[in-house]
Amino acid sequence: MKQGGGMSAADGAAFREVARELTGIALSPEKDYFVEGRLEAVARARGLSLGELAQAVRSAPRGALAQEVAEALLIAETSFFRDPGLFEVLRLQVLPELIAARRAERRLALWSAACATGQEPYSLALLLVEHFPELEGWDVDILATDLSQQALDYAASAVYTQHEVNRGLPARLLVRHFEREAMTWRPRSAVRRLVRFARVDLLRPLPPLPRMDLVLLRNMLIYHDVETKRGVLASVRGRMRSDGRLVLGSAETTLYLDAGFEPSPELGVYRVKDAPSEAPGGGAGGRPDAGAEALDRGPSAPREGVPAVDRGAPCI
Amino acid sequence: MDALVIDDSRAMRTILGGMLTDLGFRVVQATDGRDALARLAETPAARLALVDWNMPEMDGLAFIRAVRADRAYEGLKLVVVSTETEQAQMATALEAGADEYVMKPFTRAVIAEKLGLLGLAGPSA
Amino acid sequence: MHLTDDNIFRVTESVWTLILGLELQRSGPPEPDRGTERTLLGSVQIAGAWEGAGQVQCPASLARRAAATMFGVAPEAVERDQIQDALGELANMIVGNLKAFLPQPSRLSLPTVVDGVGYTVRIPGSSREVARVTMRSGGEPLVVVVHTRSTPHRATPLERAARS
Repeated sequence: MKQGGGMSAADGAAFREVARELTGIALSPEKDYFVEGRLEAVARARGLSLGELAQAVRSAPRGALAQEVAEALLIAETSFFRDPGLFEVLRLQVLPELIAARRAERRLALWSAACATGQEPYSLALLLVEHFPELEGWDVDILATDLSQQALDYAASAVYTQHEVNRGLPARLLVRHFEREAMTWRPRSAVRRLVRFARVDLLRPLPPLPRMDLVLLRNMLIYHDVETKRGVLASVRGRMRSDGRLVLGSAETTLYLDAGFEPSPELGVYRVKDAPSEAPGGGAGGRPDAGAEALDRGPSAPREGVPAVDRGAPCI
Repeated sequence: MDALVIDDSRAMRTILGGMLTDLGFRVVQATDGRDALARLAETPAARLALVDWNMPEMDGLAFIRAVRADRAYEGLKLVVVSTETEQAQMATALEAGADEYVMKPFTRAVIAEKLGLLGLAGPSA
Repeated sequence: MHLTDDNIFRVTESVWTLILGLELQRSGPPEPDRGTERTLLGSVQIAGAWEGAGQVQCPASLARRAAATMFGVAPEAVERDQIQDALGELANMIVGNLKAFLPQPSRLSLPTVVDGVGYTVRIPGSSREVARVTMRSGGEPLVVVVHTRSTPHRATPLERAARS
């Protein structure tokens, strides 16, 4: 079914140019229809048409409005349980193995590192609540981060439209774990409380994070060049447990980019091979250390060379 | 792979039928539950039925109950595609034996992703 | 959870964009019907914790464009019964989703469609208009009206059959 038809090719090009200027990411015109709705929302909030919005960002390509447009463009197309095969692998293989390995500490740290509007981290939470009752009483922490503050605000509110829950979310989970309010749906608190959100730019030095058991970093590397991919993979690996798993998008790989990961038999899942030292004081921060709480349960002073994670801080 | 599209609206049957055809299904159309049971008997290899709820003659819920009472159709996946979106109604349909539930209005991606969940087709992104 | 004009617009817009891929804007009231233009009206009854009906009305030319999209054919190739069927299904989706803003549980009737020039419509039982929202799609008016039944209505056999 074709989607709306309000954006002209010239306007689309103007928006993509703004995004490239501000974020270094080149978007293809085929993606225009993914973002048209979000751009319309930006335009409508200012009482503008899409054409007028394009005119405004052309005349002030570094202004606040351009910044907002760039953020809207960065929100990747996403849905609940995107790639159901992967979530089956997580349910049947990866999570049971990790849970068995953590039985003594009763602690599990998951990271959705490019979470967009939150469907991915809530899908993880739904998977845990629905299929792993043995985690009751464990310290389960799903950290969801993104570059876009707009996306994070949306994700944290957890209010999804009917169309969003129609996409990829098993109806049984919708009935059992969501509350309906007229035409919107919200995960119940048992699901929401497992997930917390923070703004993190993966292209910069990472803030202190807990050591992660599982990292989902899907469809983020594809937008970047080889050097940037290497940098991101190395810094993410620096925040992972020595037996941690990394999940990439179906068009992404660590091969020829980072020898510290090795493919696992499950497609799209990588294991840490050369874990950095877990001893405290290691460059990436050992676990537990003081800094590891910075994105955890409370505020803590930013360490030198590490940007504080501050909701709303300029980031792009 | 054979699939049934059951809806009293010809427009809706055309939309859903077109989407399933694009996904590689051979589509058989039915106008209500009773008609669908007759078509199903002629199409025993059908793997999927998209079924509306509110229809004349026999509604979608009665159709689901009839299909689930018949061992011959054990392998048939049933997806309700309905404008009824109350949580209690969705729960009723699932308890009666529906495998999935799509709320109208929907897009092609919604149908493809639901079929992906049922192992019937990969979402065509 | 209230049936506001804004909610009616949002529901109609989601059906119009997701199913038809057509744009839709709020607008002022349409010029009064001169009684010469052919219009279609799709009506769906709601029965249960809330009793009433929702109606979707537009000129035949807009219904024809909508039907063309749904049937995947050129507008001039659409037949009259296809146009009526398409508007009935659009009314079913719009009113069905409006039900989310009304007391529950309730059920929908099958849609009925009126197609003609200068007709009047009467809702069974005595009823009162609670909302009327006018929109435009491609320059043509689309009106959604919601009526509530102010006195209990004894369902006709046809309505009972539709509801069961």
